[in-house]
Amino acid sequence: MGRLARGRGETIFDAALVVFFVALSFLMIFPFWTVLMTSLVNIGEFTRRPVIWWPRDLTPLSYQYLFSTPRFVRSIGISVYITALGTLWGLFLTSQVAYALSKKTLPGRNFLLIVLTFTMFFSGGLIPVYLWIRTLGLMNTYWALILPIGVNVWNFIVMKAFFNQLPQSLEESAKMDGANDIVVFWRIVVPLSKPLFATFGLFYSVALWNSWFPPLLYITDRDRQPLALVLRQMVVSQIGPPGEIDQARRAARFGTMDMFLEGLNAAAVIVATIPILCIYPWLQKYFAKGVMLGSVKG
Amino acid sequence: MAEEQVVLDPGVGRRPPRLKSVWSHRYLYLMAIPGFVSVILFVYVPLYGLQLAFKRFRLIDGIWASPWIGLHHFRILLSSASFLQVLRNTIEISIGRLIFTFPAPILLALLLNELRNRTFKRTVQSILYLPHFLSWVIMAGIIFNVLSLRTGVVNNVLAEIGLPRIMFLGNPRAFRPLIYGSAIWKSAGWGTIIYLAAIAGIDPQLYESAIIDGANRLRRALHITIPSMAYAIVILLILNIGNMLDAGFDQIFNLINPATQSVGDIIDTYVYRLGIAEGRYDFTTAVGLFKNVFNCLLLFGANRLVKVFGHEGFI
Repeated sequence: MGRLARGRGETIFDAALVVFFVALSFLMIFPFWTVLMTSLVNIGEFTRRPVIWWPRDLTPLSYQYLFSTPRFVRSIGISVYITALGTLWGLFLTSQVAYALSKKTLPGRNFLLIVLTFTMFFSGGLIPVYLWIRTLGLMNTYWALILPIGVNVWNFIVMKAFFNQLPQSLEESAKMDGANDIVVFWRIVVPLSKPLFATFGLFYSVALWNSWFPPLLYITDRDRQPLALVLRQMVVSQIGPPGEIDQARRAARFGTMDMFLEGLNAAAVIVATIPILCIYPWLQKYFAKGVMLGSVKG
Repeated sequence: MAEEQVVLDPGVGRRPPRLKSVWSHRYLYLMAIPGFVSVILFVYVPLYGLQLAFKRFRLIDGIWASPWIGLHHFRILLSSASFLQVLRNTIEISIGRLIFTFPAPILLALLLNELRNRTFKRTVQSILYLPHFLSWVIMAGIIFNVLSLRTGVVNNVLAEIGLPRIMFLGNPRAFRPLIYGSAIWKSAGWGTIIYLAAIAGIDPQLYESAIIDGANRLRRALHITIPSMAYAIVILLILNIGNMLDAGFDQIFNLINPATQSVGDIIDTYVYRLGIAEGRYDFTTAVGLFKNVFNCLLLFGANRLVKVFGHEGFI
């Protein structure tokens, strides 16, 4: 349609637009690049060169140091564990509730919907929830991070809408054959809803991997903290590298070369970012769909 | 919510007795139980802690047995200079976000919509969306690296071309621009999605007839594209106003430092500091309750106002 008499002004506008977006993309990417470069150079190069486009002396020293500290390595394992378990838990709870409440014949459905919707507008707030978790004795346990995930109302709304538009005939014929709702859900609905579970699996995984505030509240034991919190202590609280190995061992392993905080922080940022980058292609595809679905049906 | 009562019972039009219907749905209830137990346990039960807002908390007595003191905390709250400063910061930052951050994705969506080359558009979108998926801790790590006074690349370049280095991070005057700027960096790209969806729903014939009528691109944007985004803009505006007293805890908590506390301390950071760090549970519960009630009022108020002006609200 744009082929109709495109004037000189329009061409200039198109060109300006491309220049604008190239510049914007550069601005978005450049900070990431700078951090990556910081993590890959030694302190001499870092302090001498104002802008590092590419390392003159590429070195994995910062990464080697980070991975030689037990606390950092353990925190990655903890994050993987919490992310996996929390994702399964969130998917399980939310999809089950969404399926049950997608059935319009369910007596008391409206009341149950109100019970859920209320949580969107009002909650006890930081302190009452914190005190409750403490009362339950969940401090310094991973349950404090996983159990409260519960039913996310936005995800619930989208899932319910999805289950609603599944063809009913399969479910009904299975029920004719004597299968109950739980069997129907696992045998028929779940296999039909793979894209849905993929979408929300990614939702939950990213949120859990990135989650630092609940760990800050509930995991005070330094050896049980997940990566996001360890990273926060490094970059925000400036509490040096985690679980520093003693001077002698450091000297033996890395020579006399000194570690520098910026390099270690940058390396930690990169380590925390890489898993998200790895699944980014899928994220982009599914998240966009999830948002659309939510905005249409919600 | 409009509900149709679907009657499965073959005895034409006769409703099955309530109990029988409940029994026939027993497996569905069974499925819903874990979720509702979790909601009750972790959302509803903690609500009992709200009574702390009207009590003097004593650790030995616990929440129930601590003595009632009425509206004491709220009186202190509204007469405390430190809280009023925090409240002011919160509202100012929220308004600043509405002015500087909120329009960014709208503008960006309009410009993206004008891109003709699809591959280029997709590539740009991929780049713009990325920061949305990273936490504010990661973003803070990157921001500190890039903007650091002595070693940051921005200041290195300034020094290189003979300009003085700028203190971005420990400077009260730079803090709010830093907040707005980094919020745009992180979320403006992703924010375009909802507007692009609205634009995608426009009937192409509208554009074609506009072209025939001789409307140029600016006029088409003004009279077709922008009006089509109005509904999405209004809904997001309502939601933003409903979060007025939140002002973005995750971001501010990770970017603030003692030097910028005077301009950056918001209700949530205040509650964290006084509540979790100093253990003043009763007072900070009152602060939290105040915030929550106020946010709800704002949300429903904004929704109401929008309806008065003849738009469709969201509730």
